[in-house]
Amino acid sequence: MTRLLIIGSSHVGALKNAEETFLAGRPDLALDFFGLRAPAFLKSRMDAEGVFHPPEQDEDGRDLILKANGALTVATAGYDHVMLIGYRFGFPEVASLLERYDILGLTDAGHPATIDLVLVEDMIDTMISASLDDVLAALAPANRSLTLCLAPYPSKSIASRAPRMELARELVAFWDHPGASHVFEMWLSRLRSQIEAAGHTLLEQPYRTVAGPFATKPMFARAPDNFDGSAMKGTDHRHMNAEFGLTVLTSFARMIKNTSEAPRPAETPIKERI
Amino acid sequence: MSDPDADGPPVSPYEGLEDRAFWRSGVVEAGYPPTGLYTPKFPITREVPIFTAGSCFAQHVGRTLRDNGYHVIDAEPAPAKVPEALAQRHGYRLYAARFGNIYTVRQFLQLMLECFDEHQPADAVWEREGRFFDALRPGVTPRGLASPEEVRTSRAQHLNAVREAARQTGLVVFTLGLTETWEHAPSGTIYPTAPGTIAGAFDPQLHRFVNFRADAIKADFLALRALFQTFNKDVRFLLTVSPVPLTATASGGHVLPATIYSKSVLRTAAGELAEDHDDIDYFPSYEIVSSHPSGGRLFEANMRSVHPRGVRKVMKTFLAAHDSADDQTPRQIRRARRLARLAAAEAAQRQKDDAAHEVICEEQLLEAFRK
Repeated sequence: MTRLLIIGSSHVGALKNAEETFLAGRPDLALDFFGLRAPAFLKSRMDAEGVFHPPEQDEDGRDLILKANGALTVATAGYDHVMLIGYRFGFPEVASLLERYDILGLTDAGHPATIDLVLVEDMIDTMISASLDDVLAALAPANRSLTLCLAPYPSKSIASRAPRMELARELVAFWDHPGASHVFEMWLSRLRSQIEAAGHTLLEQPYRTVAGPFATKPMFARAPDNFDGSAMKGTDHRHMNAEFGLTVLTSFARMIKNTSEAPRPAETPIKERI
Repeated sequence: MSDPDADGPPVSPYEGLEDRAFWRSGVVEAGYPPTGLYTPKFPITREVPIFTAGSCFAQHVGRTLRDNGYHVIDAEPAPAKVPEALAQRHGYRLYAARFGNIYTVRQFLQLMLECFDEHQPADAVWEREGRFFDALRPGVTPRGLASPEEVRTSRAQHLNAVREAARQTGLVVFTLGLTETWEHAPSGTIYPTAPGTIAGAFDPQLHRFVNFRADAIKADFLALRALFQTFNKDVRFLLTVSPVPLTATASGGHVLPATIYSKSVLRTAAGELAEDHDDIDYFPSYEIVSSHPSGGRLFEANMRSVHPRGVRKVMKTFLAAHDSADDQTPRQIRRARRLARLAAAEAAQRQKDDAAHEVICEEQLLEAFRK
């Protein structure tokens, strides 16, 4: 039996609601979840025994974690694989670069000003470092290899909110920009390298869910799920449904199978490399 | 001739002068910096669009003005979400446009002439290890650009931005930094850094050392002033002299007297310009930081970089003088305060990144060439 643990922000909901479908026909797998609000998830840490601790919560926060998970913390030691889902690693900020700018020597979309590719590279490195360094430091004491999974890319349908929502406006401009693929691949490649250098694995969003650079097909954003298993009201274009969750779980299982064994622990303790 | 009807003996012309006119009461017995050090020639309101430029120290001036709600022009803005330190490393959010440090008036004049198509810089693209730099602002692209064409495209956009900034300008705040510089001898093109420092290559047959004198600086500044006046005949100017000493001198002398000489020339030029023209004022930031009553305490341990305490004293003096001279209505004052609060919040955000407070100064690169 291979035991899997999924820890994450509200995006755990999509995976949790796909659990039954996913496990059908996979008697060799066992699956557990631990979900919490994104701000708490991003500030959580692991201790040397591999126990995942959310930051100190007020009463409402504690109640929510208890209601969803039955415990305030979760021990990862008994699991063969642990995946954490819910990171964006600064890509929305990187995407915002293209809202009003062309990239010198790369695109000519008629924007009134240009930025150069070195600034884009530096912005990517700054944004990844600002978020990934904290994550790695918080996870380092557990000294085990983990799978990090991004929060779902926003759905293309978020464009309908562009007139009143900054993220939507920036993403629409990004998706329309001829440099979008180049910038996204640059970000993804650098992110993957840095995560692997720290001894972890990046699980990329499954191809069949992707509508373009940092975009999810709208069909996966219909009827999304909360991390406590309840259905969300309406479509918020950032949370995905059980079908999406199933695709991610399948991709995770395939990755595990391809590596055949548990992800190799880092040769040196993670803590020493940070 | 004395008035035979006047009572008493003739008086000294110093009699009755204010305390600030006397060394003992104006300096020795005053706090530091002394009050009354600076009386603005004209008010600077928070509405007037300010074009900032100059040597490294000018970055402090622009930042403080912006953080205190003044309308500091940024005609070539970075994308909004680029963090402060990163933006500044790429030459953004330092001055009215992305021209980097302007150390000499001649450099400033040539930039403006180029905007008017009256100057074409020579040898304007420098190369280093397969990357290409704008020779007139090599510090704004930290790793250069991919081709000379990219440099030229970027410069054309930059010149548009400078023109736009000049068009808006109500006040030019310029910090004079250096007299020593390097020139492309056949064309007279002035570079902000010596060729070969950031990129390019020094050619003794082509590149010539220049040490500007006060008359030349004044003439250049008046030409520059005329260019700004074509956009706005009422534009005003505020000059300061950077207290930052030379990192190195190419004059052949010792760097200490070379620094004092250079700063004295700049101070003379600035002082005479301010004396001769109602639209040009001088603010004594150089004196506050560098004069001997400060005891060198306003510099960092390297005796070159200005300590944040020094910057605070300079800008506090400036703001105190202009806040009291700013004849605003209560509504304007409320608006200014609100803007200042917003600016302060933005400043607090920037302060989270220590690097954001480092001054971008190509001159420091010279230090690397010391050995």
